[in-house]
Amino acid sequence: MIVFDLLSALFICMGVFFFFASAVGLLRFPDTLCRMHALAKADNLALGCVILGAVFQQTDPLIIGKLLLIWVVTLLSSATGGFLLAQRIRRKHLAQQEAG
Amino acid sequence: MTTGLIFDIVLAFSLVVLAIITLRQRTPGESVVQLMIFGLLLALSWLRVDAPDLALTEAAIGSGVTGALLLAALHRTGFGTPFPSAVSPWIRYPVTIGCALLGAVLSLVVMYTWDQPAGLTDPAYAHLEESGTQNPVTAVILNYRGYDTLLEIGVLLVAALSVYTLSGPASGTPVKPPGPIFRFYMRVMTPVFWLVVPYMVWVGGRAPGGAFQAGALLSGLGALTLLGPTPWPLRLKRRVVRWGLSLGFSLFLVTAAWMWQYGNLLAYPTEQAATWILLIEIACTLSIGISLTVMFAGCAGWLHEDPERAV
Repeated sequence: MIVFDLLSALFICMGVFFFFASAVGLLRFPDTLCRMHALAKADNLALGCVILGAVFQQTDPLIIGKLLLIWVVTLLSSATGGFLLAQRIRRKHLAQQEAG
Repeated sequence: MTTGLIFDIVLAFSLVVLAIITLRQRTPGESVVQLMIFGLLLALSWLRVDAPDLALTEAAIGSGVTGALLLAALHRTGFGTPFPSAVSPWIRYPVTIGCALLGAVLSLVVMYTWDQPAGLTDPAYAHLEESGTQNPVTAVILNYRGYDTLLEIGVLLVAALSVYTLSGPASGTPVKPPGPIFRFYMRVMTPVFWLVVPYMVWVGGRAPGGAFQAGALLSGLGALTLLGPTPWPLRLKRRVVRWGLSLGFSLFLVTAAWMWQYGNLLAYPTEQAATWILLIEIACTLSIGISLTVMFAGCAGWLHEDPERAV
């Protein structure tokens, strides 16, 4: 199906664009919190696009389900991990401010 | 040049660069993070040579569990403390040259045997019917080369027991408080883990999966639980933990001995093979999961919190 192939290509290209953007953010942003922001937002969007692109190549509902599950689990894990990291960084900042 | 070849060249190049970066970090914390990324890329390269079983194991154990163990150990010694001192050049250069030579010899071996017939692949497929599983990798691990796996499980047991025995009284409790977001994450993810772990064991009979991958996942759940609001594994009775640690190895040994009545150690009769393999897989999954969790807790210094009861 040519339509599905085109959709796949479109979504995967979008995914690659967002991955690239998040990598640029990771390298160029000034501090840890900004860099995490680039990773937590753009990377998950990019993964979602790539997975959607892959979904359009599949007909088996089981495989489509697994692909979407990968995305949902990654979203949850990256949000939680990002929160825990940010919490730790904030505590460290506060401790540094108190110290002097 | 095909796209696949370009991808492989970039991948191989990145692996070498990442290995150098990993070794050249200033602090252990940075090195461990680089090592985990290295593990993921290595998993990708196993996938490129059509070895999804190895890729799964490498991603789960090589990158995930090893990274978690090292980070847990660094939790005690400090992530940012620079490496103590430079290794003496009398050690560094001979080791570097030795490793480079070993790598060169291995590459030559791979290059010269590239077009040779594929070793034992054909016999492995030929006897798949009698092996009690449809996944050739599982057949090799648990039937044709059962001894190797038995000893690997034994090595893991010894490693876990060493950590278990050598960790002194707890030097701290898990980091508190985990906060509402982590609590929500655990509430959602714990059932997912309990679904995926048995699936991983079961699917090992016909597709990539099996005890090692499932055990690594189980230990991931164990480590998350230790970090979470209720680290109940730390409050288990010692007897329970010891049984859990040795379950896989014991069942494997008993199976090996039981098979003696049919002539050989660990040679299952064809009609019983599937049952024994599944039993061993389940026991080994539990033991691998518990062993790696114990090692995680031991590395972080959380073992033996309460001399009477704690793990």
